Amino acid sequence: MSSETVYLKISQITEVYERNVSVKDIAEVHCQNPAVEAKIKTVRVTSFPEHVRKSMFYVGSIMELIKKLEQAGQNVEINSLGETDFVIKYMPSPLAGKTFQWIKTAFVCAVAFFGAGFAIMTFNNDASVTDVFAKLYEAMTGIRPSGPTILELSYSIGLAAGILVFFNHFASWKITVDPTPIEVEMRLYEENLNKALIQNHGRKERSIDVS
Amino acid sequence: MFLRQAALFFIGCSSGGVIAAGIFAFLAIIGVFPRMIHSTDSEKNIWLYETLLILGGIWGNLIDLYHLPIFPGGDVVLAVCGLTVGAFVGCLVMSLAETLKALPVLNRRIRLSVGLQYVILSIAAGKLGGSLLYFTKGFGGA
Repeated sequence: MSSETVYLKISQITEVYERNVSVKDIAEVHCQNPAVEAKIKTVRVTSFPEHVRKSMFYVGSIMELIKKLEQAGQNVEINSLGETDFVIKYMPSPLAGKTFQWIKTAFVCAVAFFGAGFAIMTFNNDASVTDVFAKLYEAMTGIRPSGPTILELSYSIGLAAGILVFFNHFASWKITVDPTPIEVEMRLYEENLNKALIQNHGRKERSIDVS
Repeated sequence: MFLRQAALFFIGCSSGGVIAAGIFAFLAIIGVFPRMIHSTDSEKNIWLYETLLILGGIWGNLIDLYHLPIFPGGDVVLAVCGLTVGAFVGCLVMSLAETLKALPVLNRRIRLSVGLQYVILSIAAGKLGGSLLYFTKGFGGA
């Protein structure tokens, strides 16, 4: 009996809402023999304890998974094309109530709005933008300005244009198809979180740093 | 005269664009918003947050340069403004590389092995104390 090759692509992080996690929840599986593929897909990866209300992490590695697949009794050869370490996030109760979600969103909105305004104001004051503009205006026209000039006006227009180009969209109108900067940063941050989770799980050097 | 005004207009637009790119690239990469969005589980609202960032930047610039009361409202709006700006600056100073990178180095040097959470708490308390001292004793030179 020759062994069947099973291709396995595990994603770095998977969110699950059910206690019992099987291979099909965390990975793409392919095998030429559909029966073997179906069997592999149902192999249990882990089970989260019952009566847990908080979300939990499970960090697993491909080695443990291969052992489990072998124990399942199939004569298979595993070809892993995805991650070698993976994180499963278990969320028993999907999310907190709608109202609370909106309160949090409103808070982040307020921080975004006032924070951005504050950042630009502190910059303008730090760099004495108004003074620089007054001097520049005098140098160019010979007239000492009394109050905002065309420079402030065009600076405001340029600033707005620059922010729009940077963020690549306004509300739901998008300039190009690229993901927006915060989306990019969000993915980077999540990737770093997963890496830290996996490394925390794997390390045995207890005395090297604080944990 | 017209040419000079046009040149000034061009200078103004360019400086606005460059400053916007600089400031908002800083805001985006400093990591305050990804962390905040992550801890509030609201990834689906990223576009809304970015729109608010855009509006906030334009609003802040206008009231700073033109002293316009663009945002009406009394003490309640000001309180919301102060609270959120405080939260923003709090996240900002802790996100800055000096804090994030200096703490692990310090911990390694003196082989701190327990109670990292108290170190963090002490930083927060120190910031609060410093801020109160700054505003009540007039360190700002006001």
